[in-house]
Amino acid sequence: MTGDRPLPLSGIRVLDFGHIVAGPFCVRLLADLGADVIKVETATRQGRTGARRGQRPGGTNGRTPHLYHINRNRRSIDLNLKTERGLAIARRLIDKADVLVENFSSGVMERLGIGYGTLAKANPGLVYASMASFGQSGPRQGWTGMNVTLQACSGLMLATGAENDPPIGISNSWNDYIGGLHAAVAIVGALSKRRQTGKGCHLDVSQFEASVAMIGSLLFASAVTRRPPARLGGRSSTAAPQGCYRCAGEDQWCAISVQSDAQWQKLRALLGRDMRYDTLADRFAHHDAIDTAIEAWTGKLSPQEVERQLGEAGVPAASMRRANEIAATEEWRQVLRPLKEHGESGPKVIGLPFTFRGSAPREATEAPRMGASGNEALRDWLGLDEPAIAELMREEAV
Amino acid sequence: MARILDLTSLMGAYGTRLLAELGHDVLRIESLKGDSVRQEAPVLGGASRA
Repeated sequence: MTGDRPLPLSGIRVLDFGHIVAGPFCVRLLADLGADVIKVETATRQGRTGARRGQRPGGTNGRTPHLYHINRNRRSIDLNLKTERGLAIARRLIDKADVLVENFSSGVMERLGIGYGTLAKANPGLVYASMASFGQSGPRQGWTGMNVTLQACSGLMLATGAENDPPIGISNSWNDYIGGLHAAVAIVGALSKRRQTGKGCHLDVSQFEASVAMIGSLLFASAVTRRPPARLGGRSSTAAPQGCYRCAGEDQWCAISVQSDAQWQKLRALLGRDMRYDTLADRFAHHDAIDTAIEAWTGKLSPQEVERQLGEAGVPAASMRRANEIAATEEWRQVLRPLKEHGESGPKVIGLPFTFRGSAPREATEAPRMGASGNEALRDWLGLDEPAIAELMREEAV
Repeated sequence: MARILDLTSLMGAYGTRLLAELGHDVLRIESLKGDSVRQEAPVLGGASRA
């Protein structure tokens, strides 16, 4: 999409105290929507505030895949928040910010002297989003939560997998992304309200509650039936048959989801078996037998052929792709965005899954090296010229 | 706050639910048969269908 209309958050300044994934991902969404972001990092606490920085074998030079994916479109300033000097600069930047995002454990920002209550007096329009694992109050306030522990205590791990499986979580920082996404919705909502009232607010985002929200209907049903949520593996509670079926070749699979009686008749015709199961209730009751019949058919075909035949028949199906296969597809190329610094032939990042008609997507700039754009940030946000920045660096040791 | 016309079904409605909780005024338009989620049994899980 192209166009010259500004993106919705252009002109909004965001100060990113986020680390690891949840906070920085929330901020990335805001940045992709046009916001002007400064990331505050502390070189002396690499790996904590450093969003998974650190030298890795293979030499990504302090910028890991996580960092590249999540920390684009922002500048980085290195401030030691445990020193008065570092804090003083942070406070000056906060005074100029529209949004502050932090995902420290509850209480950390207050102990540093930059909790919401302190800052709101000087900057009443500030939208301050805290993203502690369990929020800012309650019995687990202050607990450290990670992707897998949050999924365990939200109940999610017993809603995934199949019956009799050990608990199984969704990998790759799933909970962090869900927390970040909900925080971004809350921030955009608060900014929208601020346009009317002029007032900001403190957003208390709980990553645990975000995890619970994703299985809300299961927990609700469980409260009604007084039974634990069924662990359905690849099956569905509302459609049958459904699953990921073995195809011809080594470890080849195709996912199929039959959504209606009409779709079932189409699939049944392809299976060439003498079986009916006309109703959904029949198909739930004989799911195992149906699965055997489906695999007898898919087992002779490549996943791509299964996908093609079911696609023609109007039955939802998709071959299971591996990373290298995804990278070879046309839709993958549409997902990728070049980095400003490297151009079309360089490494690429993954864009937003939506576009604004009339606005070009924001040009992606690569994740900054730690502290690399601190001077630029001070110039743009505080209006300081080079001598003033040099003076500040002497006084306050940026 | 905005007035929102909601033409979603299934999980699309989670998006409009978030907007409703942010204070917007949401009006859902459904077909005469209603959203297919309305047809789901109150008891979830394969066993209840047997």
